[in-house]
Amino acid sequence: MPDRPEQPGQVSELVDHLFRQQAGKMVSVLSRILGFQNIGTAEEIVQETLLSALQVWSFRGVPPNPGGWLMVAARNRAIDHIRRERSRLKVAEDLRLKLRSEWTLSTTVDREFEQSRISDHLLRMIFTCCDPRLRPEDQVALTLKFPGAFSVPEIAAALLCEEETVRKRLYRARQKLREDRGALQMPPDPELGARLDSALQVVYLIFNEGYKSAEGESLIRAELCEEAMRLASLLAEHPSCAQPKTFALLALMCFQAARLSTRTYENGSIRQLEEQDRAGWDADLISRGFHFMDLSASGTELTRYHVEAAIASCHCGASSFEETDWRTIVTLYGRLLSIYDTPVVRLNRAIAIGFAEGAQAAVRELDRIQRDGGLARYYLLHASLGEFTMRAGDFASATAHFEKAAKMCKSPAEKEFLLGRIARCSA
Amino acid sequence: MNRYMLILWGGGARTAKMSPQEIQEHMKHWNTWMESLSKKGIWDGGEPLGAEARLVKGAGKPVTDGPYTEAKEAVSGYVILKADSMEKACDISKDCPLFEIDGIVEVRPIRTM
Repeated sequence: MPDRPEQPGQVSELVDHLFRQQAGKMVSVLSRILGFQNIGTAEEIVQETLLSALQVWSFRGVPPNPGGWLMVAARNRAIDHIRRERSRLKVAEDLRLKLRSEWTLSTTVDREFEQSRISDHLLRMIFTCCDPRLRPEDQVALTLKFPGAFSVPEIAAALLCEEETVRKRLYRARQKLREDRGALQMPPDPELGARLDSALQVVYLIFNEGYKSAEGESLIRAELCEEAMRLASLLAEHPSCAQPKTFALLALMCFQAARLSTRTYENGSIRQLEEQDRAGWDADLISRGFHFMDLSASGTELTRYHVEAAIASCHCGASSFEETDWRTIVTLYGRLLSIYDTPVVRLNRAIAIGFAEGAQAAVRELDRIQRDGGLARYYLLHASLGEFTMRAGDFASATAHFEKAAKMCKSPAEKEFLLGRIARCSA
Repeated sequence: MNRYMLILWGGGARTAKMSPQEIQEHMKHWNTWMESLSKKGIWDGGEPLGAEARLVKGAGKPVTDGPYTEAKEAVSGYVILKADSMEKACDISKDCPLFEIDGIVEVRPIRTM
């Protein structure tokens, strides 16, 4: 512990989200030691550690290595806890004997807290939470809760659902994981591939949750994008997960995030791609995107992340909307359909066709999608039909489509945009 | 100038439920407040206190836990301030971040000769 300064407030500025990031690490190390079944205890130890930092640092200022301080404090609390509860505590099976003896207790705990092992523990935690046997929404909640260190209210705010729903998902997932004893193990090699796929999917779900309505309505949702990118970086840094598809997902998220701040007007309403100020796109993120795209271009596996990153790179690489290479984008959407065929991908392809070949071609494609019926309740289908019938000069149908879309869409910002379109059709 | 002790009561029930992010944001307010005291030159010491508490009632008598029934409501620390008057000391206390977490500040003058 450093000496007390004569005056308080010799504050070194804390990195944003340091507590959240350290909490994710601490809970991963502690539940490695105590076993996943004791993750509740691990969380309590983390909370006590953060609160002791709050109290001490408030008076004495932030220490020079705050992350290290927290780790040491958590380690000490863990040892105290194991000593106190030794007879009752059921710790991780392979460490049981070592933690029981006073001779080996502290060296065993120290070993798990070694810097080089912390990222392994964190990765194990991510893989445990992204267990493909769990429902995707449960995997998302669990990943935000443990490696992410979001609280239940924060998860609920970020996912726009009730706290009770989040609690249920976490409870269900933990019950399921408790059933098997292999939890918090690194998946064995043959399973690692499947598990990595699942982890990448969870990361992308988290990113999309943040991306789809980062309309400035709440900061916490924008933080989801940041958290997803952080998790993906953790995966990319680990030798077993530094695969082309991991880099492809990182590239995709960089390209998308680069455009995040220009997607809305100051009042929160939607700004279409055509109207976005490209000078406001984050050049640093775009160049990181291209860097990761280079890293993703090896091996034989072509994932949806590869193709989606390539599409996003076409947008980021175009200096204006007019110069966008829509023909390439249409081709890429075609390739995406061959590995990931969903109505939404079809819709996006139809929109790209509209910009490449004209409004009539888009309307033909969109009509076909509408006949298939998969997106009947999806407001963006009707909004797109409105947009391209309007561009084709059929204002009466356009108005009808926009009205249908406005009725279905939930976001006030998007509704306002649609009402603006209706007004334009009758002008 | 007179000296006053600000005794910081409670707040633990709220912080126990805070997320890591909220704890970090809350701490920023403490750092800002403490820094402002020191910039104004009125800080004269202070320490955080652990939650553990024992009551010693004399030799031969048992040492007991206490006096708090709930550790979360314990005194979490104290600050010594230089101020012209009790009123000034109370005014300065009003900006203490402890109120964000439902705590209370007890202001006591330190007696001089």
